[in-house]
Amino acid sequence: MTNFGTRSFRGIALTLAALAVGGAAVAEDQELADAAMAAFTAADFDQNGKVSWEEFRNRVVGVFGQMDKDGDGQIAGGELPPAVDESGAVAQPGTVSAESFTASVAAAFKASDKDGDGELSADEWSGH
Amino acid sequence: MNFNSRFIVILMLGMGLMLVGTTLHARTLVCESSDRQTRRCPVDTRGGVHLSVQFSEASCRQGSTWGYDRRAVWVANGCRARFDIGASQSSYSSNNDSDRAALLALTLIGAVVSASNNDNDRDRRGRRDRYDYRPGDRYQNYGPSQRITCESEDGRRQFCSVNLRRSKVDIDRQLSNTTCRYGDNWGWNRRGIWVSKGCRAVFAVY
Repeated sequence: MTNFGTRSFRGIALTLAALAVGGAAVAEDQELADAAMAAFTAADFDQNGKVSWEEFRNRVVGVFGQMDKDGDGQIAGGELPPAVDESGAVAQPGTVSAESFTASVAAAFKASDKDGDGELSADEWSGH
Repeated sequence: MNFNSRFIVILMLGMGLMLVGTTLHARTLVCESSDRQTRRCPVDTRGGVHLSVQFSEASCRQGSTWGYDRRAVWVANGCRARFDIGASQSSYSSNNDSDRAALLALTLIGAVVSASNNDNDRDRRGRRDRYDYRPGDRYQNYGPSQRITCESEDGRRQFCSVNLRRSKVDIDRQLSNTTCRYGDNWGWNRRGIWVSKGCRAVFAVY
């Protein structure tokens, strides 16, 4: 189970990198660091050097909204790509509601917001 | 006071408490902007308004594409969301799909984190052997088809011509300190994007 509340977050970018290729060594990958910083800049809508929850939500939940072709507030069936979790097990098919998805994204955001100011700094984004 | 009178008083007190409870309890409403029209959803907002769940791919930015006054919540340019009306905020997490939701959240966050470097991401994607939701191909299909910078200099109206038939436009990044509020100092039609009153932004065309 992916539990954002108990996972030790080092930053959204690094956490995802570790999940993506399975090694903390990726944290040193300059290519990834550059991509993460470019993405941070792109997500910083008002360019104040921090990514707020609103800015983050619009980036991530916006994609959910695009995947939700029929606009019923949930992704189901062919709208949901096949998934394999960290252990290699195939995730059970089903639906994902916008409510649960938002709760998960919010939990990830909160876990990365180390100083609790409601925004992600570049360091919090990249895990430094 | 006889028995009946006491009963009525107690009943009224009970009803009063119920009414107080109803008043304090957070209400919700879904407000949707169809196409790019601004829509007002009448509601008493004196207890405050909080966007709890965004449903639309179109951005919902307070002061730009959603907001509220005393009598209504308004949404614009395709923003569709559920709003909590009142002091408390609702939680909508469901146990039934929480694992799938968490997995999808990680996937899409990952796509967003690496989205700005697609070529390099393609190389990396082949190495994803532990966690492989394979969102990348799909995600890249969802990105904007083009980005256009349109700027109002010295407060003047500026029209940036671009063919927007069958397209949608959203602000990708705001360049001005002035808040770009849809319908007030920016908007778009089939022929292009207009800005005024100091709004400067990079616009995403989908």
